Amino acid sequence: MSLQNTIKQLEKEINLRFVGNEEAIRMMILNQIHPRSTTLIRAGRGVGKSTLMLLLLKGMCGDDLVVVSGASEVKRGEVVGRLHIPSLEKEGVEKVLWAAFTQSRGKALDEVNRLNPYTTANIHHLMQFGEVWAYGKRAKVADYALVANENPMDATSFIHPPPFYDRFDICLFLRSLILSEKFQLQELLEKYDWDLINSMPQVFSFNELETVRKEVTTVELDPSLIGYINLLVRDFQACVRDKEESEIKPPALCEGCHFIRDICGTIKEPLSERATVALTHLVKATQWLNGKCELEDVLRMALLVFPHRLTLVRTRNILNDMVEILERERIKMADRNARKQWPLLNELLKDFNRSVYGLAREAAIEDVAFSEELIRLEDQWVNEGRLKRDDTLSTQMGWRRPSYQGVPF
Amino acid sequence: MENKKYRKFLEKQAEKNPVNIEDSTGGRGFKITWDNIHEEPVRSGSSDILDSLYLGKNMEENVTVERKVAGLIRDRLKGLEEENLRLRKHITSFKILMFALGISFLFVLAILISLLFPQFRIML
Repeated sequence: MSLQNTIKQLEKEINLRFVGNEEAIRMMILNQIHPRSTTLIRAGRGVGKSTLMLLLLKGMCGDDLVVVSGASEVKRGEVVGRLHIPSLEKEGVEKVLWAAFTQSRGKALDEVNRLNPYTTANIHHLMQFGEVWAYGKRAKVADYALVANENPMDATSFIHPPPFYDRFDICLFLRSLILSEKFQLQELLEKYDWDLINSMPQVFSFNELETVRKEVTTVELDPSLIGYINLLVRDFQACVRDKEESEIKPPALCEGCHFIRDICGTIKEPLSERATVALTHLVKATQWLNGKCELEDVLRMALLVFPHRLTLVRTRNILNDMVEILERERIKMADRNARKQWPLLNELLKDFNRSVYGLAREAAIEDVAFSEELIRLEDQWVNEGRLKRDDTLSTQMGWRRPSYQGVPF
Repeated sequence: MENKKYRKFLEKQAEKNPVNIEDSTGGRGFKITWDNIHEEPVRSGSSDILDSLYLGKNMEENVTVERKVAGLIRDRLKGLEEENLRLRKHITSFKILMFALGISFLFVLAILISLLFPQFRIML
């Protein structure tokens, strides 16, 4: 069986034991085929968060799986490591016994919203640097698959910092079952003797998964695809009023702004660059598994990569709000093609041409991301004496790159 | 120094959406042309105008409306116009009533004052 079919087999085995949410399962598996993958499942009570998490980890890691539950009292020794007392007493040496959680390939965090801040900080460090610290000793953590779940409606939650959530590659939202699916679930439970988790076989070894991960990492993406990823993330970050550094945030910051109706006006806290990394991993995985990846696929993936990393100005239902913004993004990308702005920028990169520059300026007035690129070129042309500072778009519209004495930050 | 992949992305986009740049004979700039200037962005169907009307969602730059939705909006507008006319009539009759009540109130007030303070009777 080819490696691609092995991965598809895992999806089949999970679908045999988990009803509904097929898209979430598909994306969850795609997210496993890059090193140190992290997945967050966010859903209400009793929707199947823990079941899905365990099915996936059992399918990939078998018994090499440790669950840390936020619902129980978790001590540092259970997550990171504890002192080996006999060594300390007899030899006076501080020897650390590393916790099974750090050494297992499959790492499960159940009810992560209930984990105390100290445990969360240790896991945050593990996800960030791939290592753990205890009693002044450091241990490198081998490649792993980490899956966490949480119920944001849970009243007994700790509010974890946004950078912690940013370390999760994707966030899946599960829905409750419709009537016909409830019948399917009952049938499944009876078929597997009311124990779905233990019925799940290990579909491949972790070594095989590591081989797949290595292959996926080496996939070369088409420049257009890389461009779409970067453009998409930039559209969710860009602000001519520099909202990232501003103390005033949208919507107050957007008052009187030229781009008030644009996507940037709907986002309060923008995305981090980790969104680009996560999206690139998913696109590579899709390319490796299915042989192709289109703009529509990228937009669909963004729906699971973005929501836990940003704050919208108004949130009614995060998924529906994101669908609406991504639809606007799709139209925005088509508008960019209609304005031919990238070919114009391509010409301007070759050489300054006043006629092309005139058209590019018109396009820049409609697009923040494009205006940033044009303003960067304008600075270069001003320094070369090809353009007067007063004639630039940045001067006339008041959109400036953050700089000190002409040197950009 | 531009990143190679960034340049490649722009070149690919230029291949997909080519522009023709010709040096004009008069020496006053360049002539820039391309096909499908008014190429419309691909839309899956009609815009959700009802969502924007009833749920306050943001409308797109251009709004496409299905015949059924347009009919619904026309009927709703007609109903609102009729409601508007009916309410206007009510407002006018209430204004007249208020005016009449105001006059009557002043008249009653004047009679009461004249009864309570006889010295005002001469003035009234």
